[in-house]
Amino acid sequence: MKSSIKNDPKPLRDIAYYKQRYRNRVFAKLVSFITEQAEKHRLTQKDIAERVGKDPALISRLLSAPSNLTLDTISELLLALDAEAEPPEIVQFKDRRPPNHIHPLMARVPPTDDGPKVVRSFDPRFNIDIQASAEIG
Amino acid sequence: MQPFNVMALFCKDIYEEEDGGYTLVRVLRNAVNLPGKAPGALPKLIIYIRINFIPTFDLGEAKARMVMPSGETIPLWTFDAGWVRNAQESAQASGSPLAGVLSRIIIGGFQPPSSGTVSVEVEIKGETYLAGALTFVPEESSG
Repeated sequence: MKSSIKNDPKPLRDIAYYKQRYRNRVFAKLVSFITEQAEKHRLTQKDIAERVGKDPALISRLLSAPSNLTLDTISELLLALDAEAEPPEIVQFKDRRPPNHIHPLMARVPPTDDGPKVVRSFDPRFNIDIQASAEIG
Repeated sequence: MQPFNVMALFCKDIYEEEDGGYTLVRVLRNAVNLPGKAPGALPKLIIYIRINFIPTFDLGEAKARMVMPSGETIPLWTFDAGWVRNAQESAQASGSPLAGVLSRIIIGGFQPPSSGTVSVEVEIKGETYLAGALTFVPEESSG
């Protein structure tokens, strides 16, 4: 008998979602640390680029939006700030704590009339994603 | 006394608590210093908008928008009149001295301007009210 766990391919949507989510998480953590260090030591992107030995334009691009950063790049950026990353924490879905918010794309449930209305949009002029919701409070 | 007030707070994150309340994380000051040109985009910028009004006051529709230093505007949320009335009736029913509506705006990949002010305005009854402002100050002139 065929094992469903072993043979069922994961939906492409899930694969794409988790890839992007991991990129976003790593990016957020990295930018947050670099921002903190840059503020603390009054560093510019040019300073960081010189420490890494790369073109300032590349550093600017890396820090402007989440991308598929290589482990080597992350290591180089952190080393430039006298830091390193610990190995990522791996968690099985069944062991995760229940979230207090589930992205509707993953929850796969239609929004109800009871909860706050959520509107998502993208503004190409500023290249920003906007998620807005409102409620009586 | 003005029968309503509008307020917008800029912060770095917001958590939705189990009891329906919110926790705002690192509320930004009105002026934010930019350290040179590092780094680039803010991973996340949260705008928490709240309108409080006296339950007997007919607020009507309220439109919130963000105004960039260039003068360009980004619509954020429209509190429609019927919905505002629900808040009004809800406050009257509970005997609360204030009715309120709130909106949470989560902006991903926000690129701060090199300088200038980003503001949040709310339009009520054809008048525009400043709810909040975030001024980006370049390092050279921040003193």
